[in-house]
Amino acid sequence: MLFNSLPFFIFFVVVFFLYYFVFKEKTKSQNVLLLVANYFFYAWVDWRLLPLLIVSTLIFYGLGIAIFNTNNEKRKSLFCTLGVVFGLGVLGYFKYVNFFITSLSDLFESLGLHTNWHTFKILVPIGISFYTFRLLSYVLDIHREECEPTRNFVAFATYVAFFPCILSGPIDRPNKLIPQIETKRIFNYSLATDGLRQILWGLFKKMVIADNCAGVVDRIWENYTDHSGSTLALGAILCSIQVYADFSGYTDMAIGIGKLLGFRLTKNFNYPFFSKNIADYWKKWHISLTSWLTDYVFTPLNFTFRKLKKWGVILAVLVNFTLVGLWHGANWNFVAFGVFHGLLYIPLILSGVLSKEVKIETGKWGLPQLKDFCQMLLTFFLVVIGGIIFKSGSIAEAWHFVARLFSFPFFSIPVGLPRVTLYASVFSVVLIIVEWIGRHNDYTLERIPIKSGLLRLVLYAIIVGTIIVYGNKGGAFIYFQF
Amino acid sequence: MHKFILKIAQFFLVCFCFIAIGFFLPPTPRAKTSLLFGEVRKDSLLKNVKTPRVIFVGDSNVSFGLNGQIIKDSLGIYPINTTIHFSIGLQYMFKHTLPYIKSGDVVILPLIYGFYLDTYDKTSEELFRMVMDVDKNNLKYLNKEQILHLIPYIPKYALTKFDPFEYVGFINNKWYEVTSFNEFGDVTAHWNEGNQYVAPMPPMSGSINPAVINGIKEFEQEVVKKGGSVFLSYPCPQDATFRNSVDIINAIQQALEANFNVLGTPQRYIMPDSLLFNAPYHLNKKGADRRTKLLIEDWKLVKR
Amino acid sequence: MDKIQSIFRTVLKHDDLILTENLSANDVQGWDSLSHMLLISEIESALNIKFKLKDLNKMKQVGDLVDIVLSKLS
Repeated sequence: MLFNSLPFFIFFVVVFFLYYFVFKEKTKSQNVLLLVANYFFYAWVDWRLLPLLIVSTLIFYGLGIAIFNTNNEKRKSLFCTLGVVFGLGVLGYFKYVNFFITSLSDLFESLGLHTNWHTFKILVPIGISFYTFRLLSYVLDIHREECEPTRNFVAFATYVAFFPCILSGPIDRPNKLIPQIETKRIFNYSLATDGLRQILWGLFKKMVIADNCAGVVDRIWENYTDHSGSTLALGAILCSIQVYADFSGYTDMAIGIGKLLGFRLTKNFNYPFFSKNIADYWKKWHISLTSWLTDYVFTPLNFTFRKLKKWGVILAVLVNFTLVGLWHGANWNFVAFGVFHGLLYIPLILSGVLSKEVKIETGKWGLPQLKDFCQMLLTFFLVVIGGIIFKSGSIAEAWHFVARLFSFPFFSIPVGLPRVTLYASVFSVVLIIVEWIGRHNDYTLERIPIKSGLLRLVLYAIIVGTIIVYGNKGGAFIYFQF
Repeated sequence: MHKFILKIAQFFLVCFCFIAIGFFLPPTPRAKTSLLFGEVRKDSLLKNVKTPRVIFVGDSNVSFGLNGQIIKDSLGIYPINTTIHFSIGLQYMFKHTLPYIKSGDVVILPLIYGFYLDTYDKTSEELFRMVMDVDKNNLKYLNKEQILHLIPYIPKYALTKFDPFEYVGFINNKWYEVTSFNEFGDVTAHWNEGNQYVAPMPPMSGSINPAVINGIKEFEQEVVKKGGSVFLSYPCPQDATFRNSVDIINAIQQALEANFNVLGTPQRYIMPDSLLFNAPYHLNKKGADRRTKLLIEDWKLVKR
Repeated sequence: MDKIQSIFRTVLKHDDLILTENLSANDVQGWDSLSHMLLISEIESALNIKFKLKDLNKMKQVGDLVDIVLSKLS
């Protein structure tokens, strides 16, 4: 169920009504309702994989209690390891086994050894990357004594499968979300209206920006060999903007829906295009994933390699980002994407810039200083190159695309592009400007400098109108496939 | 909670006001250049041109695939090409054209194959605008179901009136403007253009809708009552597009030959890529000329 | 404690840094997760102890760090 669809709207209105009118302030009943809603939502997307979600939830619920209850350190580690192995094993099987088989088979073929391996017909459970990480952080945090397990299975299961987040995040930590689920929730007017505002903004980004960019980007990528460098550059830039608008738009909707139900979910984006270097970028892009990997992969690796000093950090970063890439999908271009970003850290680590605080200085009219602006532009350029690797079907295709991008003659008027190119470009520029102005907010529309209630409603109506007129009925959210 | 519900209600009220205002604003400058407005001149031809005349009803495979001058010169009969867009639907096209039929009129329907698999009383944004923008009197040609199905188009239509791009800086596709039609109702604006690459349409799926056959029969009966005659014919598909849907096309041919007077066969009107313009059923000038000549030959066979 | 303070001063490049029980990474410019690793590594070498990963997560403030160091030395 896409958030911007009629079935979801009906589903949510029913849940909202039951939540606040029928089960008003009855926490236990509200939680059972949420759990039923979660599983209904997941089953609607694909009912065949619901049993896996439920079984995984049961196993980790038990493991969490087992880890906490036992006093034996070795046993604690054993249970924790069991959980990690199970979680990663399931994830690995569903997402990566075919990739592993094909890659190994290709390797043997290239060495002259013929293999007769077949890949499996595997149904990839939607959302598995997201809920697995929630389950893993639960047992890991209990093992680290950073949180206590919950005996409330309904609350735990709701945390794992929370429907606004299950398909594309954010990846909330157990000690942030479970307490909220276990606490009484009373309808909060300002939180609810804030949620609606955030949903509206998310819809705008998804339907007006991302879906319009998609039409252009796909067209340019289809026959990129026919286009000039300048057209490919436009395509690459719009591609990065599309992914950002799509993913952050979806996240805004997820967080907004959470707010309507009285929850404060993890912030996942913090205006990543206004970053002065790549490290700063990753602190602002898909924050819940990068902080997850930082806490459970990078920091332990960094700790293990600490005797290697800066080189230890570099090694940890490279492994970390290879995993970032691989998390996105079982394909070598995703791995290349991750490694590319990891390599970009090296100059920052060696020069010591990584430890420095990153602030953007503004001058007249609130515009960034020239030096900061150039750094932001360079970072954006690197992100766009990474985006080309990400979007391409293979490393070879990415390479050819980039080679063609920098070929002569670079500039020519784009030919054969749909009219939507103009709209996509104009709206993208508008987005950047509006986000720059609102960058101190959690999301751009959070605080608007309009005092009159009526005028604010008019502004929201204009945004809705723009969505209706320009919103493309686009496809599924990009991050659903992950 | 009451305050929340009230706020939402206020918001919907504001939206409703915008929609209501936009609904009653006149058609925008961009909308007025749309090919849908070609109906005005075509109606004028239907009203004023004296018999004998041949009237073409259907979709853009006819507007982009006919050279009326050749018909006029070789048959001495005035051709009126009323065709505009597939999405307007057969039910509207027939109801709208019927009042203008005079005794002695020959009506030819070279309908694109998709019509036979689709709903008879289609609804679309184009149909909506035919009523709202072109002529509000066109509402009388719609049935109750169509009116109901057109209601969801109201918000987007009304709000488009506030879009600045509807007033300045709009870039219309040259071939889809009201000025693209000539004195016979054919699209000729593209006749000096070169060909574009045309990707074949994927195979059609579905089965013939009996309501469509019945609808055409009813139209034929009404035309005959007025002293006219109706002939079915075939569209002019790209070779590859035709080959993708051979079975369905054969079935359509059988249905037409069983129920109506038919001109030609589907195979005769298959077009190579060199005669196409920008779509699998749109022809360039050479293609339009060839198709017109084939039609005239088939017509002459029937007249004998 | 003095040894730890001098290590902090060297690694974080703050010549006049004074360590207090409640001092944390948020209070000191340049003390992030990377420089934290360097601190840990230097303290291990200087005092001939070895930290565990679990210890790392418990070090929210300087006071916690010192407690852990003392427990390892005894």
